Formats: sequence, structure tokens, C-alpha cells
Amino acid sequence: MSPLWKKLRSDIRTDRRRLLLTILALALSLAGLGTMLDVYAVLIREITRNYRETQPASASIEVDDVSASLVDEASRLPGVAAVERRRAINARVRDGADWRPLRMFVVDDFAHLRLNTFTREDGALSPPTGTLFLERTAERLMGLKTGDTLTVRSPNGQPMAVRIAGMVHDAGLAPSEQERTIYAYASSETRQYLGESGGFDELRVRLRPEFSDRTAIAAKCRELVTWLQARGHTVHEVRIPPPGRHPHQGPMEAVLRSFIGFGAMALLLSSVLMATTITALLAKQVRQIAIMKAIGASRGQLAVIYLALALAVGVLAVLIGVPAGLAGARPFERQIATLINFTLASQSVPSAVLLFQVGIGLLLPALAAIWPIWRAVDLPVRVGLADQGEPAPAPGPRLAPASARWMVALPRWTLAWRNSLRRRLRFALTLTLLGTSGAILMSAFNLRTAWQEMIGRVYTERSYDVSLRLREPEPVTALMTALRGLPFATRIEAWQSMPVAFHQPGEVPVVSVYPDGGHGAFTLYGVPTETKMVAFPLRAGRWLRAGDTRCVVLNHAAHALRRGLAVGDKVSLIVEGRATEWVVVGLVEEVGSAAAAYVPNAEFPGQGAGPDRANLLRIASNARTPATKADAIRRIEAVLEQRGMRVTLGLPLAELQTAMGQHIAVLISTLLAAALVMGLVAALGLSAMLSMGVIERTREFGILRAVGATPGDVSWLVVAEAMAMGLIGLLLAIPLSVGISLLLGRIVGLTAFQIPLPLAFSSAGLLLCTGGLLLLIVAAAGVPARTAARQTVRAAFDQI
Amino acid sequence: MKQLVHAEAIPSPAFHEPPTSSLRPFISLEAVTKRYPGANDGDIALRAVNLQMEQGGLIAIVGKSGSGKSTLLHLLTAVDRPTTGSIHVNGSPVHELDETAGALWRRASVGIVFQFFQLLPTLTALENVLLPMALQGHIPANAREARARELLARVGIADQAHKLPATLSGGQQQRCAIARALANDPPLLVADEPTGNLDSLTAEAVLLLLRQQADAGKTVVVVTHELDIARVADRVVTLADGRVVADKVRTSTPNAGVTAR
Repeated sequence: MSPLWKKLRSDIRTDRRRLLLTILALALSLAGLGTMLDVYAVLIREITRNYRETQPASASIEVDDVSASLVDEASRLPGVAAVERRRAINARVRDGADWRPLRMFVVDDFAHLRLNTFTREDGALSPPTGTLFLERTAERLMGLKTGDTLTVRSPNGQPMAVRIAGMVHDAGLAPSEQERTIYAYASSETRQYLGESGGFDELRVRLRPEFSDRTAIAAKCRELVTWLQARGHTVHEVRIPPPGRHPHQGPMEAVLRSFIGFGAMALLLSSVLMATTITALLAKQVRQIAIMKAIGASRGQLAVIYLALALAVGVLAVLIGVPAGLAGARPFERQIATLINFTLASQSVPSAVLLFQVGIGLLLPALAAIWPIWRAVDLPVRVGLADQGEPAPAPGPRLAPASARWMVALPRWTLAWRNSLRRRLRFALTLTLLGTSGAILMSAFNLRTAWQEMIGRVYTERSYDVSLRLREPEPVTALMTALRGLPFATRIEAWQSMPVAFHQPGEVPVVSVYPDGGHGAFTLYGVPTETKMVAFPLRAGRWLRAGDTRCVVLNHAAHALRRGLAVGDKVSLIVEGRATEWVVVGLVEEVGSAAAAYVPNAEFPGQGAGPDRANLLRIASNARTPATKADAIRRIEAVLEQRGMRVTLGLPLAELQTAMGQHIAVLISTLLAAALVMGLVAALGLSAMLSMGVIERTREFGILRAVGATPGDVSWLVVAEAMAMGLIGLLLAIPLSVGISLLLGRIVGLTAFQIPLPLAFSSAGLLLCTGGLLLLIVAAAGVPARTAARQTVRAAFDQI
Repeated sequence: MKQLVHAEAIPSPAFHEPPTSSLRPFISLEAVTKRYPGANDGDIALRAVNLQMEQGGLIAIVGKSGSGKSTLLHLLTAVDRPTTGSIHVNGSPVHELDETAGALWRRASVGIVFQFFQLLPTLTALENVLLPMALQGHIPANAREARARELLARVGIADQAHKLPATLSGGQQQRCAIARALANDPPLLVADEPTGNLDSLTAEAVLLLLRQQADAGKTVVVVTHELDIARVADRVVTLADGRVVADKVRTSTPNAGVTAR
């Protein structure tokens, strides 16, 4: 072996601890980035595959009646790949003493599903009359399983006992516990058994692959509508969900991308750590390099040796980090898949993703080392031979006289602070590591606090805590008479509501609603102009007021459907197939709601509507606990039922809050995991920095021991340096966390609510970060402090 | 600042055997042997050294490289422990002190001056002098700065108080190191080749400072391979191959012929 390579081998042996720390830091950050990349690649592939395997309909056309022959005819139309008929009924299911929403899909032929398919998990091949299939996440929400008997009440029926004939997996729906709704599948016979008459009213259509984007689909749907209308059918609405995308795919992608950003940040910081390690290693070798150059080694020969070291570090980091990333990704993928209710057919990571990680792992350390290596091998021989091997003195020839006062008052801290500043680049790197990891940790808690504040707006902007939907509009006077005297109801308002769509003249309205009826919905509300039940923040214009005519207020989600709209613009809305004209007077922010438009109750359009009718009750009660609220709902329903007024949905506001809270849990824990990775990288980096400093200051510690410092004093000095850096790192983390929190809040908020989350500070996060930082410092400084304490006094007497 | 230079050549001093004394010696080495682990019998740095030193005065420990003088200095300052034998300094059994006890003893009892000055580079001259006081803690905090300044003035570098060591000359650094060694007013001052890195003019000045400390009542032990130190020493102990081969006390007054400018 060439002496140069032998030298490299002995250098590695000499500095093995520092190099090991650097390798670990690189491997850890590579694992973190790898985990995020692997998860992203696998989940995007699998969620897309899961969703596509359900054969999602390109569009669902709401028609007065869909016969089997109509389905047959439609399936032969140009551009149409498959057609099926369905019907969705919003029923209710008993959950203890309360009723829970149950969305029931009436399926034409269970044996030959063509669109929006689901796979049977257990039970019968198709549900007999009087039974239902349930989507499997019903078990998570209500603990239901095959064989259980439910009490189901459809809008026009009586409570009926229904057995669960089997569980199915429908990858096209969000999980029940997130939507707080049970999804069921029934035959036409069961529909009749439950008291619902009528046939199918949805024509679900899958178009050929050339109709892949929404514009093309909408254009084709207009042709279908024309064809249907030509056959005397009334078309109410066309629903086109985002093509090929699961309802929760967008939020998941946005969040995962931000996590990839964090992983990349950790890797970048580790690379800078690599550069500093190489710099420190080379600082010890300046004289040796000068000697080698003096006896004939070229810069290129020397540079190759040290680049080989950097490459070796990268190889080891890759060998550890990439498999670790894969191992970390697997449970994470399973957790997300369970959360979003899809099945992982494969967790294999595309080889391109793995190759990318290997390439980054090898390239970054080498790139980080190039400049320090070149700087070291390019030093003139004369300069190198004269090198003393000591770190550079503190900057500046003179300090202010007042600085001595610090030495009197706080001698150990003064010494620690001055030592920290000697290597500015290293100091800056350590601060960056500490600050960034602390910032991410605080941001995770800030995000949780911001989310909770956002959810809290559900309460602060709404003064009702119970909402009841009626089967059909009822006279307001009758409602108020029935509910008068209820002791727990402090205020009752009668509203009206109806699905709505923006109207394009000459066209059937198109909305982006998913089959679950929730995602993408757009609702028109008729409200008392002086309502006390809602107080949404205004983005522009004003709320409704007495005397308003043909005025409408849109919430932000509705405004997103027609972004060009401004206050003062005219807008046309389709309600029950009729176009109605309005003027936009205000735009509001409404957390926790899909698209909504608000008009004066007196002008609410729609059949059976009118200023003196209502199909939606908002009730403020003095019930404080979930149990008392549930009891309030039951009593109101009982009172109304006695008067023949059927309630189809009764929800406490808390359910909305629960649903929103479900979505954030995985996000927060993933962010905390990312913060943990960054923290570990910071700990390794800090330990490496401190170790380098201790080794470089062997003689200095000997001097301290010679003038009377005990091993404990020296050890404490190293810890004090670490704490000084930690304190500054913490101070740096706070403003950094503001930026990260704002960024994350924007990503998450816009994805979830179409509103950025507010900037919120978590005192728990700050305390945890401070405590975590202290622990990290103690852990990182432990070994270097012990090493420093073991430096002998004799080192002070030694020549260089 | 006074600079001390030779006015004329100084005649070699006259030395004689040290007299025996009935008083307890300030420094006592009894049958001190130091063996370092190594091949065969190991490396014996000191062989059964017996040495007593009275309090006060300047004692030079001279010898060539490898004679054992550095080892003697390490044992004297509790940096190392003898393999056999005992060492007492001012009544303290130095040979029994462990790392921590040694440090505690050093901060109160010994001031060390190194060949390469060994000032802490991140502290100013003043702060380097404050450091031992801060470690020991006996001198009240509100009195430390004044004392440090007085010490710097005593060694002639009061105006360099707020400068960092990198900007001081070798002589100034060594003066600062002497001031630091005096910070806690130790009874024993040990200097390891204090002039080894200085030019002759500066070396003279530093020797004079050490001489002044001896005259003020401190016991100053200077370890050196330079025989010129004999001019300012009260006693010269010569080591060779780990043994005391000569031990002479001065008969004439030191510093004769040296004048201040």
C-alpha cells in the first residue's frame, strides 16, 4: 500500500471518534430525508393506485330518474367507458342514545360493480334485503363488525333493525372517524325496507382515458346532459370530483413535501458539519501536509487522499442511512395508509428514489470537503512548516476594559464564552444546527397550537352548539311553538339550506363534489339578517343586514370556486335547477365548512322555501357537557317528532371539532419525529465540535490545571461552552420558529381550510425545547468534558 | 517601565556546600524515585533523590536534557507522583495528592511560570492574572482587579492590561505569566525554563523579576539547562542521570554588577 494511503488509514484511526460522529450525523440526516422521500414515493403511488382501482366515476349526473335502459343506452355513447346507476341517501344510525349520520349508497348490482367499486372484506357476497354492507372504518368509529345489528332510520322511514352483512373497503372514501359518518351500501330492496321510495337518481359515468382533465370531462358532461334532456330527463347537477385524486390526496402531498424540505435541511446541515470536521482534521495536519509537499507530493496527490476520506465518510453514511431510511419509512407508510384508509399493495421504493439518496449521500460530503481540502493543500510550504497547530486567537488585539469585570464576576462563563467565539465558522455551524432543530421542535408545537386555535374558531365564530336539519321545510312559527319552553335552549334560529352551484348561463351546473357528498360540497343558507348565531371575520364588504334584497355573502371556500368575484359583482346561483341572481355584498372566512353562500332568509329560493319556513335549526343551549348536549338534541328531536316534523340530522358542534382534530394527529407526530432527527443531528454536531475543540486545546487545559483548576473545573468549562452555545441556539430558534411556523401554517392551513393557520406560540413547545436543549447539551458535552478533564497538567509543560 | 540591562560583565559567583539546618525544611524530598513504565526495568527519571530547601531564596535546578530536572519539577508541583519516596512542601505531603487535591493545593501554594508563557489566548493580560484568583476564590471579588493591576505594574506591563497575548512580545508575555503566578500570593514559585524562549536582554529582565520575588521572601525554584542562572541563584542543584550530582549555596550576593536604567 502506498505510504500516502497508509497515512490516511492512520489518520482515520487517530480521529475515528470525530469521524464516527460525523458519519452518524450524516447517516441520521440521510435516513430522515430518505424516510420522507420513500414515504412520499410509496404513498403517492399507492393512494393513486388504490383510488384508481375503485374505478372512480369521471362524473356523477343527478337526474330525475335513471332506469336500467338509460344506463344501457348511455354506456354506448361515444367517449363513455362505463356507466352505472346509484343513489345516495343521508340516513341516520343509532349510536347509543344518539343518532349518527349514515350515508347509504344504493347499489344496482353488487355482483357487477363497474364504477366506484369496493372490495369485500368479509361476509356475504351481496347484502340480502334488510341488511347492509358497511365501509370497514365503521369499526373505528363505532366498533361495528359483521353480524351486528343496527337501528337505521332513513329520511322518510321509521327506525328499522338492519344487520351488517359484511364489511367492505372503499378506497374512494375518507375514513369514517374523520368524517364522523358511517358509510353503508344497500340494495334497492333494503332501501324499500327502510321506507324510501323512488329509484336511482345518479348516473355515474366513467369516460375514456382521453378525457383526463376536468375541462374535457366537463365538456363531455355537457354533451351527456344535452342527450339526457333531449330524452325528457331533468338534470339537476353534474358532479365532477378532481380527476384521479383521492379526497385527502392533496393535503397529504402538501404535508409530505414540506417534510421532505425538513429532511433536506438536516442533510445540508450535516454536510456543513462534514466540512467543519474535515477542516479541523486538516488543521491538525497543516505541518504534515507542508512536509509532504516539501518532499515532493503535489497538491493533486494530497487532495485525492483527503477527498477519498470524504468519500469514505459518505459511503459509510449511505450504508447506514439509506437502509435506516427504508426501515423508518415502512411503519410510517402503514400508519398513513391506515389513517387514509387505503391498502398498501407494495412498499417497494422506486429504484430512482434510492439511487437519488445514494447519490446525495456520496456527493454532498465530498462537495462539502472540496474547499477545505483545497485550502489546506494549497497552503505554501513555508507557512505550513511554521504552523503551531493552535486554534486562532480571539479576534481583535484588545478588549474593552469593562470586559475584565465579567472575568471577576463570572470567570468560568467568561472563559467559556470567549472559547466559543474562537472558531467563528464552527460556532456559526453549531448555532445553526441547534437553532434549526430547536426551531422545528417549537414549530411542531406552534402548529398544534395554531390548529387548535383554528378549531377554536369553530366555537368562537358560531354561537350555536346544536344544529338540526329537517327532512323538509317547516313553518317557523310551528317550530318555535314546539320548542318554546325548552329550558336548555337559550336561543333558537330558523334557517334554510339547500345544495347550490354557480350558474353559467346555458349550462347545467357543475360542482366538484366527491361521492361522500361532503368534500367539495357547496351549500346555500338562508339566514336571519340579524343572526346572532354566526360572526365570521370579513375579508371584504359586509355581512347581510335588514332590508337587503338579492344580496349574498360568500365564504372563502365558495369564493375559491369563482376567484374572480369581488364585492359588488353579480352572481348567478342554481338552486333546485333554477337560476337565481344575486349581488355579492361580502366575503367571509369560515373555518370548518365547505363552500357556503348566505342570503337573507326572506329571499331564500327553492321549492317549499319562504321567509316563514325553515329546514335547519341553529340552537344555542346552556348544556355544557357532551352528554348534556346529546341529551338536548334527543329532547328537541322528540318534541319535533311528536309534531310530525322529522329530523334527518342532529349534530353537536363538537363533532365538527372532533373531525377536524383527527386530521392533524399524524401531521404533528411526523413533525415531532422530524424535529427529533434534527435534534439528534444537532447533538452529534455539537459533540463533534466540542470534541474538536477539546483536542485542539490540550495544552490550554493543562495550563488551567497548572494554575489550580480541578478536573471538575475543566470539565465544567466544556459544559459551560456547550451551554453558552445552547443558549444562543435557543435564542436563534425562537425567531427561526416564527418563520417555519408561518410557512407550515400556510401550507397546512391552505390545504386543510384554504386559510393559512394563524401564527401561534406554544409555551409547552418552548419549555420542551429548552429542556430538550439542556439534555442535548449535557449528552453532547459529556464525553468531550470528560476528555478535557483528563488532560494532564504535563501538557502545559510540553513543547509543540 | 524600567529595563534592566548588564552594566558590566558579572564575575562568576562563589558557591559552597549548603549548611545543615535544624529547622524543618520548606521543601523536602526524601528518597524520591520516579520510574516510568517501559522495557526491562523501565525508564528511571529520578533515582533516590534527597533534597531539602529552606524557605526563601532562589534555587536553580540545572542539568542537561534527560537529567531529570523536568521530572523533579513535575513532582514538586504535584503534577506527577513519585514511584517511591516522599515530598513535602511547606508541610503538605505533595506525594500523596491526587488530581483534584493536587489542583487545589497548586492554586493556593504554587505559582508556575512556563517556558512558553502559556497564557490563555482568549483572555487579556489582566484577565489571565485574574484567573487564578477566580479559581481559588480567597481574594474578595471586589479586590481582585486592583490586585491584578498592581501585579502587572509590579512586573512592568500595567499599560498592556487589556491586550490579548497574541499582541504582546515574548518578554511581556512572560512578565504577565509571572504576574499570574503571583496572583494568589503563593509561597512557592516554580519556573520551568523561564528564559528559554527569550532574547538575552529580556531574559535578564525576567531573571531579575524572579530574583525580586526571592528577595521578597518567596521560595523560587527555577528549572533550567542554562548555567547563567547561577548569577541570580542562591543555590544551584545539578542533576545528571536522575541524581543530584552537585548542590552548592552561593557565598556572594547575587545581582552584583546589575544596574537599572
